Amino acid sequence: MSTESKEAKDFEEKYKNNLLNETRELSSKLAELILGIQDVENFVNVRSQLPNLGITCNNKLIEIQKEFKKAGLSMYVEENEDYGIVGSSFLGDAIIQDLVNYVLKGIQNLEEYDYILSQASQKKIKQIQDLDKISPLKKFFARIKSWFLPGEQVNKLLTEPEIKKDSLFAYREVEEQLWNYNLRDNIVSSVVTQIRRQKYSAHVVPGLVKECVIPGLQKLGLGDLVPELEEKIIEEYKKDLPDAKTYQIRKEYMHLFVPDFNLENQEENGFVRMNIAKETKSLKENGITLNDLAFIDSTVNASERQLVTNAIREEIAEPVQENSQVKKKEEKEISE
Amino acid sequence: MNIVYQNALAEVSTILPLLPKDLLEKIPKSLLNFIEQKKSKSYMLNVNLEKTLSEQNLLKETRIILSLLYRSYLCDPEQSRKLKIEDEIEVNKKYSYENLFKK
Repeated sequence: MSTESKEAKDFEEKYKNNLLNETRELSSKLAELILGIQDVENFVNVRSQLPNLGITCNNKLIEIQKEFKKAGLSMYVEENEDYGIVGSSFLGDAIIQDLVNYVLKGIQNLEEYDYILSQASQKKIKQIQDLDKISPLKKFFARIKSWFLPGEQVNKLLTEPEIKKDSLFAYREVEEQLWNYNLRDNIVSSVVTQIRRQKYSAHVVPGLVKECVIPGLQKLGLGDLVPELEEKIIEEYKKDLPDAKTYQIRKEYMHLFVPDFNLENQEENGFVRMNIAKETKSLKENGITLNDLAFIDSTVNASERQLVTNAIREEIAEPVQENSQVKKKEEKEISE
Repeated sequence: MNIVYQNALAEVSTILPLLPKDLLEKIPKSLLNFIEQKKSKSYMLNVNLEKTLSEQNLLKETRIILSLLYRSYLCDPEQSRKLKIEDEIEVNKKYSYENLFKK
């Protein structure tokens, strides 16, 4: 698959710009959040040097982009000359989505931490307000008492509120994971997650992996990861199998539920299928595609289908009135 | 026939011509004929061509009929087989002995 054509280059440029804008947006959101947190932390006497995950993500993207380039690949675009399709790189998409997800997870952690801090600062404000209500004489005696009993606090009411830091630790952990992300250790998990995210049918997956994943892995010098990747994909799909107590799938149908990488003649055009799945266009642009119908199908359940099938079956069983009338009329005309 | 089904068939009849010819040809003529005969003659669906199919304001019954057409005649046989088994599983689960005692 080459990435040499003008269309591929334009696509890559557009993709990169969009990605850059998105990561910039995430970075500035995080910067704003971190600034707000630092303000509140100063007030409640807490210090935590928070890194900006958006910047870490951006640096990681550049690092991986360089590795792709070195292997003669683009992280952003894939071109299939046989079908004349230019689309985003499956491997690249899987990695980018994973990296961005780290940032989104980090934002969630920081928002939680921000909320905890704001609760703590409100508590402290209330303490200060309550302290103002105590008479100066009482405060004076409390100070003398603390002179003789050093353990006793001058203002019992003014204690620093306790702050739960679980979400802060989680943020740091996410930052560490993002920092340590590398192709050899993480690409398998990124690809598996991407396949599950896109909800590919099991019988399409072997073709997709063969066409869109393995060539890239080989060029990146990671071809030895293919068996592990296939194993992990199988494990993932097995999680969705129905409980054997309720339903047992026959062996010959198993490849429809769990990808079988040894089976031949499976869906080969993974690339085309993958790109079609991304497109949803208006009726004016595309008319009705199989994809549209597949989507409609996914919104209907088995009982509803059964109900309508029965209704139609009953209707078909009944003689069609209009038709029989026409027939009678025809018979009458003929007899006349 | 129930008026709702007649209206749904009228909607299906409006939608089907938007299918590519090769797909439309996969649906048996007798079934297309049935739809034409049974559809409501007074009900009209306003198709907004600027929207996708799923964004159209379709009746639930229309969606169900389209789903049946998709499964029975339009999708590839492998997919059709899988969808059939999935339906079996869904119906089976519903009536499984474990669910009998659930309120």
